[in-house]
Amino acid sequence: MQALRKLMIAVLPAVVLAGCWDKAEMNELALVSMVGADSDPETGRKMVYYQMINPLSGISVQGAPSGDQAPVYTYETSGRSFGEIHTTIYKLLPRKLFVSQYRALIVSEKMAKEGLLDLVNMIEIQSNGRTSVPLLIAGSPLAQLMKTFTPLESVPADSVSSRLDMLERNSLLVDKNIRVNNLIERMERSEPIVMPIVKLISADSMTKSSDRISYIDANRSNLTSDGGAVIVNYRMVGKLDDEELVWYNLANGGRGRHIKQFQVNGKSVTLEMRLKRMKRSTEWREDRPVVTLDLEIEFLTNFATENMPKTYEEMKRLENGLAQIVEDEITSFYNKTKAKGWDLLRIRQAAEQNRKVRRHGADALKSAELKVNVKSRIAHTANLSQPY
Amino acid sequence: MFLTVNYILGTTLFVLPRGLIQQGGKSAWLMPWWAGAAGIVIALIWIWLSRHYPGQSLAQIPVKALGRFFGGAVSLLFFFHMCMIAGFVLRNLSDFLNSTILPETPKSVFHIMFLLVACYAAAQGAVNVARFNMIVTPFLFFPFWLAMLAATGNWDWDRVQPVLSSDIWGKMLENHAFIGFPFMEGIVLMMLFPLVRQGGGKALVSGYAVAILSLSAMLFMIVGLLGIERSSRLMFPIYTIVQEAAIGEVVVNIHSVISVVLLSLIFIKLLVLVYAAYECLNQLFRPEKQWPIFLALIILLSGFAQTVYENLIQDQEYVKKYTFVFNSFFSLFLPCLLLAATWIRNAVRPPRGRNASGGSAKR
Repeated sequence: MQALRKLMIAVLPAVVLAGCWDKAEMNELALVSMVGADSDPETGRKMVYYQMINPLSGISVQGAPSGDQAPVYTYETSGRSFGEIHTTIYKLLPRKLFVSQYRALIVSEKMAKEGLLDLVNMIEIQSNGRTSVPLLIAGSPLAQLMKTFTPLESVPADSVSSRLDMLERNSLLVDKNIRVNNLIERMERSEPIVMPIVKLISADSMTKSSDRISYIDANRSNLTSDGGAVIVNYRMVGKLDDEELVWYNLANGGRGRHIKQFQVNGKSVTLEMRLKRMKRSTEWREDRPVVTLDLEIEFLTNFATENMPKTYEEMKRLENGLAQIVEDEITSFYNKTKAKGWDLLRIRQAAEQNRKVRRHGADALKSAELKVNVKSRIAHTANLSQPY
Repeated sequence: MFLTVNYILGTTLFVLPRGLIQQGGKSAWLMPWWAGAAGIVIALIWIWLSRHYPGQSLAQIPVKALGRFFGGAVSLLFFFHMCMIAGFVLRNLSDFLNSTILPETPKSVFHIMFLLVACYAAAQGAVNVARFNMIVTPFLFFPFWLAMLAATGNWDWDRVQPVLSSDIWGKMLENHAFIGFPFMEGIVLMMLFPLVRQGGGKALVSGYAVAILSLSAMLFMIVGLLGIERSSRLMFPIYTIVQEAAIGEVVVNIHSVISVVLLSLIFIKLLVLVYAAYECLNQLFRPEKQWPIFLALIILLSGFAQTVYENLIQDQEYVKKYTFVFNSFFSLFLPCLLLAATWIRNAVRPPRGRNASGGSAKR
């Protein structure tokens, strides 16, 4: 009896140690680092590319590939819907598909133009499908893009996602709201969003990792970001170039430090632009809503090698000139995009914050007017008081 | 008090946010206030009732008020109500686990495992239930809010503004189900009243207040972090919030923290229910051995949990249409009936006799 009781005590906890049905060993998983989605408009077939981390390359642990192992393998599979892919993938894949750690999602331009709704639903419907990953639009054929290695960061997904971070911090080319969940939210509110476009520099792709690590030319068939795709109602409707992206991001509160050459009062000067404060307010004036965008921008002279203001008057003139330029650029950007029907500065959302505007209903929003007020301030942070 | 808080929050955090945000929109955080206030008023009826019977639990009061036969029947009704709620709780739990982290484990495994532990704890008595709750609460409170704080990187004020833009007052009145669940389910806590040294009522009401406050804060955070567009569609918004939280580059999947916290909260609710159901039978029939009750409870409750609803869609429909009416029967009608019976009894018989018999029947 005593022995039986001891045996029971030993066996019972084993029963309680759950997970027998859902156990997943690390080496039975195929860790997805990047997902690419494409569709064929004629047949409606969906194509998905999964970049799986190669466990033998040792990147997941140390960050450096060992020997000539490819750091990732790209699996390509197709099905009538995205759901079917979770079955068809196992024709190729010897391990359990594990998507919850992926870092980036790339969608072909073709599919983006056709509509992203299906894909977005597919991600959100799965409890382990993280929507907090950046969504990029492919500017080159997706198959090539998904099958190219990147230098320095050997896993393309890491390369892409850390480049987006870099750009977000050091430029105004990439917004911080570029993730799938941002897309969903904006779309559900009937607002447009801009997603970065990624493409290959040259037409050939670097499909061999040993090639990648042995060539000196990092530019050769590397991935690069180029402009942004405007998405309205889950459909890509147009593009913004890099210049337009700067004003788009600035007017939407982008905090990246962007360095740019300005032509002020006939002289060129390179300054680092940094948004300090942004306020959007709405008034009801003369029977229509007026949205005021107040921007406070700091300009740093870190790289102003061309010339630097010498006197207080010169500095004030430069400040005013810069403020004028930014005001004009944002206004012209606004007018240009408004003509296309894109509310990229989210004027409607700002106007709706006002009680009077809400009371007047949707018609009032159409006549909304934008006023841009820029306050600029020069901060002298350069190491030279005057260039030689 | 914290037992009340955890009991009320138990499954609520799982099941309700989505529906509430769907209805309340940006001002959803106001909804718990109204429903909670109604809940407190109802709770005052129970407290009033229990004042008439000091030292008596929910199972004993009907017997005292209505006599052995009818009272016993009412007590049994309460017992079935507890089982019903426990069935819902268990099923909510296994649904959550099935659809988030453990998709392939059969539901019954969760049910039976949880019931085994709950029965073991309940068998050790109410002190254990309370002590467990006391120890565990800080471990729930801090990780939960820390995880939520870690997610605040995604905060956007635009999502909660403009305040009070929607027709929140009308929506509140419409959503009577919210009073039914979770606030009316608090009647089960009356099983613990005789064990609270004094001011059980005060603890209950303040527990309600804290629960309302937490729920309101929770809803406010969900709206601010996810936006109404997404949170009104997602099955488990809280889980998703934490899933999307990232601390730096490395720590990206901290949602298991939330899973554990939510599971513990649910477990506390289940524990209270199992304890209450057990005590109910125990006090009614006073058997010599207790283990058959537990065995029966495990079998009964795991069966209940398996069949209480077919899927979540049916559950939602049920909650929307019938919860208020169904729970009202137990939380409003029966207590009022008992109160009325007490008054009639007191009018017929001098109150001294009641007090004397009340004292002698105490366990």
